[in-house]
This record gives sequence, C-alpha cells and structure tokens, in this order.
Amino acid sequence: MNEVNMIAAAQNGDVASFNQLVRAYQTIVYHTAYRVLGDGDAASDATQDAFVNAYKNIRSFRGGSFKAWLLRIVTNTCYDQLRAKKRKPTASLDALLIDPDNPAPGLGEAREESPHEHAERSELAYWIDQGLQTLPYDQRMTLVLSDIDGFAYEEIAVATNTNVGTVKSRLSRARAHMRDYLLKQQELLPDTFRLKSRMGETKNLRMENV
Amino acid sequence: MFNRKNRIQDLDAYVHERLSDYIDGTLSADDRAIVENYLAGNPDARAALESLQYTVQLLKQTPAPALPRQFTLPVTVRAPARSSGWLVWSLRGIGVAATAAFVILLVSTLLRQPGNLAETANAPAAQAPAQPSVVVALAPTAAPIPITLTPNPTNEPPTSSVLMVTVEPPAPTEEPAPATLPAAASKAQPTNAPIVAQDQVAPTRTKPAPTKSTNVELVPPTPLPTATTNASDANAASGTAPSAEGQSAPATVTQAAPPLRTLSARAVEGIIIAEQLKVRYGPGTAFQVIGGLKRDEHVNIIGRNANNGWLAIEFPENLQTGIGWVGARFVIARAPLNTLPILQAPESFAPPTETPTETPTETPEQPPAPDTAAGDTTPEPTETITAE
Repeated sequence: MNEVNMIAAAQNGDVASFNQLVRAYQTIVYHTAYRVLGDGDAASDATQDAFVNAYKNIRSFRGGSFKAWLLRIVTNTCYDQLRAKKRKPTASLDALLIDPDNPAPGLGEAREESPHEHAERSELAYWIDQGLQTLPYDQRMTLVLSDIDGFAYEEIAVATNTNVGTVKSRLSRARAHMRDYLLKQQELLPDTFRLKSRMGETKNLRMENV
Repeated sequence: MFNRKNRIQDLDAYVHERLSDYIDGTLSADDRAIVENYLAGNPDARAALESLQYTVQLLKQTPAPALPRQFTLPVTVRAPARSSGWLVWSLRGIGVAATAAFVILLVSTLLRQPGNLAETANAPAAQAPAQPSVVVALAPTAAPIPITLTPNPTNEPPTSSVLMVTVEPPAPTEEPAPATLPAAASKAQPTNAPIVAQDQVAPTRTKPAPTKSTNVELVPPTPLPTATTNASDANAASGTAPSAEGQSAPATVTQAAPPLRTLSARAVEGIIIAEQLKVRYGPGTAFQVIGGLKRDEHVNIIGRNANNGWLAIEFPENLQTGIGWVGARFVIARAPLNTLPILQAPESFAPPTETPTETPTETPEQPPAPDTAAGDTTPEPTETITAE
C-alpha cells in the first residue's frame, strides 16, 4: 500500500493504515521534536500529540506533501509543548539555560582530538543542543528542519506556515547565530576559526561576562 | 572617503547576509558573482564562510537520537473528525456534550418519577431482556457526566473509554452527532491518563468512571455479554454495564464489537515485572518478536496457552490478530488467570479484517482492576473466544 492509499484509508478511519504512516515518519518527527525541544520526554510527548492530532485531523489533508503537512502539526505541537514548559519550567530546562558558557564536564580532553573526532563526540551534540535552545523558536525550527532533518525550503515553508523567503532569512540568521555560539565554545572548533570571523565580538562578550 | 568606508561596510554586510544562501547554492547568478568577488579579496569573509560551512556541516552530522518507543496509535483510537479545524470541533464537541448531559439529566429525572415503563419507551436500545448484550442504563450514568466533562480543557489523546459511553445515550433522541462527541470526550479525559500507553491498549490505564447505577431492576444484569453482538445493534446500542452492585458485571460491550474488544471484556490487568520483555506473535520463543514492553507497563491479559506458560495480551501493534504473547512468569496479574480462555496459537485466528474501523471503540475494555477479582468468581464460558 503506498502512501496515498494509506492516507485515504486513514481518512476513512483505518487506524492500522495510519499506523503505517506513523512508523514511516516517527523517527523524523521525534528527531525534530527532540532537537527543537531539547528534551527527550517533551519530545516523546510532542511526537505522540502530533500523531494523535494528525489522525484526528487527517481528513483536512487534501493532497500535497504529507510530510510537510505532518510537520506543520509537529511545529504547532512543539510550540504548545514549549509554552507549557515555560509555564512550568523544569529543572532540566533551567540547567540548559543557566550558563551555556561553562564547558561541559569532560570537555577538557577534547582539545587533544582532531576536529573530525570532535564532531562525533557527544559533547558537540550537547553544545549544538545548547546553542539551538538559545535561538528564537522560528529560527530554531527552521534550522532543525533544514540542516538537521534535511528538508527543502518549500517543505519548511509549508511546515512553518510561511514563505520561502522567510525560511531563507531565518535560516541565514540561525546559522550565523549557531556559528557564533559554537565559536564561543572554542575548544569545539578548529583553530583556524577561532581568531577570525566574528571572534572579535564574541571574545569581547566573554571578557565582559568574566 | 567616508562614503567609501560606508560602502565597504554595506558590501560586507550584504555578503554576510548571503553566505547562507551561497552555501546552499540558492543565490542568483548576480549575487553569487558579488559574493565570490568579495570573498576573493577578503580573508575575513572567507573565514566567516568557512566557519559557517563548518557549522552547517556539524548540524548535518548531528546524530539522531534513538527512538524511545513506537508512537503508533492504539486500534481503539476513534475515527478522525469529519472536518478540519480541530478548535471548531472541540468547541462544538463541548457544546454538544453539554447539551447531551443536560438531556440525560432531564430524561433521568423524568424517568425516575413515572417508573420503569417510561424507560423502555424512551431508551431506543433497551430491547427485550432476551438480548442482554444490548443494555442501556441511561439514568444512572447521568450524574458523573457533568462532573467529568468540565475539569480539564487540555488536549488529550482519544483514549478515553467510559466518558464516551456515558455521553452517547441521548444521541438518538437529541443530537445524532457521533463525530462531535469524541472531541468532547477527548477534552474530558482525565489528564493522568498517559498518552504513552500506545503499545498496549490505552484504556487499561483509565479507570471507568463510577456508574451510580441504581435501577438495576430495569435491566437484568448481564453476567456475560454475548460475544456475538450484532452489527445491527451497534447503532442503537450504547451504554454501560448496569453493574449490579453484588456482582461486578463484566463491562458490557454493546457497540458492534470487533473480536479484540469482545475478548478483552474479560481481560485481566497485568503488570510487567521484567526489565525488558519481548512480545511475540505466538506462545513460544519460536514465534517472531513483534514488540517489547518495559517494567511496570500495564497490559490487558486476555488469554493463556494450554500449559499457562504464555499469556495473550492485547497488542494493537500486531495488526493481524491484535494479540501479543508474553512469558507468563514476567507478568503479575491482578486477578486469577484460570478464568481466562485458553487461546490457540495465532494460526487458528482468522484475521480480524473488520477490527480497525470507524466504530467508536470507547466502551470500557474491562472492568476496573480491583473488581476483576470479584468478577472472576463467576466463571464464564470460553467457547466464544476460540470461535473467533
């Protein structure tokens, strides 16, 4: 059964068919939610909510990219999760936001490794997650959908309910922000990047903070 | 000279704004030429480009987190709404539910006064006692509804079981809107009903609302819902078990019941005690693994194999039979299992082709756990299971 048939069956109330769609997309949905929310439990909740909402509203899907349609629901669900979280902040979220400048535990060893080894270390994923959380929601979602999930501009535009131009500009700002954020964690990036580009500004910022 | 400096700064900003698009190759030819020209003579800009490229590369390499579990919906989830705009529907659902609750209250007060005759006249589904599977307890269930409907307007998943049932009775008389009622039920669901129960049948975790059943004499208590509920009954049938206080009645399945639900009418709640427990297609390690459960997860046990070594649980993940098998010693059951039917290996099951349908499946899947022990005292025939 192809996707179109599955969707049609789901629209007629066939849960089994819908679950096939769930299996096909749950990884990408969870991954997106995980990066955007920065928390596994919240991502689980958002993923489940998204699929429940998708099933409830499957009849409002009228063709086009199902993936983009689904991601739009995911985007909204994640946003709801985030707002709920803000109302009742958890310890883990506070920990994420308090002091992004402090190196993660065990980061000292990282200096001896090559940049490529760095890239595969979990510390890097940690800092990426940290950096993502400092982005405004729209930029964060756009960046995750584009560079982590690999969606096309058009799909992101549908998913975030905007146009391609806005997607591009959000992406541009988000990337620059992430670059600057990661540059602040100097150990993570190759030497060549440290003293160049926007480092002057970030260095000053650090000096003031210290 | 001042002017020139400004121009350079403008150009620098212009180029930096376009580096992201440059990386993606989405710049127009003109812009690309400008950027490349600028990069050629400006090491700082080149460094900015490289660091940006590196950042994007890092992002793309970010490892995906492992999926913590399956997010499939239980087969008992109700049919999707007929229209788009879930806000509208949920609002409408609340309205309809409120109307329904009011009508129930009205009917119930009316019914209590003249006596029993009125009920049989009004209740569309209350047929002859010869058909005990169709049981309507309109009046008694009226009380809980207004209470349970209001408290939490959170968007909860459609796993509610009992509320649906209690709301539905007035539908034939007042508002025949089955599509809107589920929305109300989802609003009304207790927030503590975890959505995470997708790998098993979710309603296990939701205790049926207390039915303040009083006029038992109206409807003869049904010791066993016949598993062969007619599809024709489905439209008229609705309602909860009139549970006589003396014997904890089995949850009456009155909708057009797919086999899974008729089976689960006598399910026993169980709790997984293994850290990780494999769910298999049939009773034995030779059968393929179709899923996994973790410690403390709740399951509905609906059968056992001949030597009691394996238990059959509700497992919607198994699209063929809706049943999964787990080793009996890894599960603690809340009631004696010897009343459960002995099920055969899955080969003997005819695929329940009609199982996942639009039929609202919100009827209680099983009696509340504490009651199951009592319910087990009335032995029930097991033929209906193997006949499936």
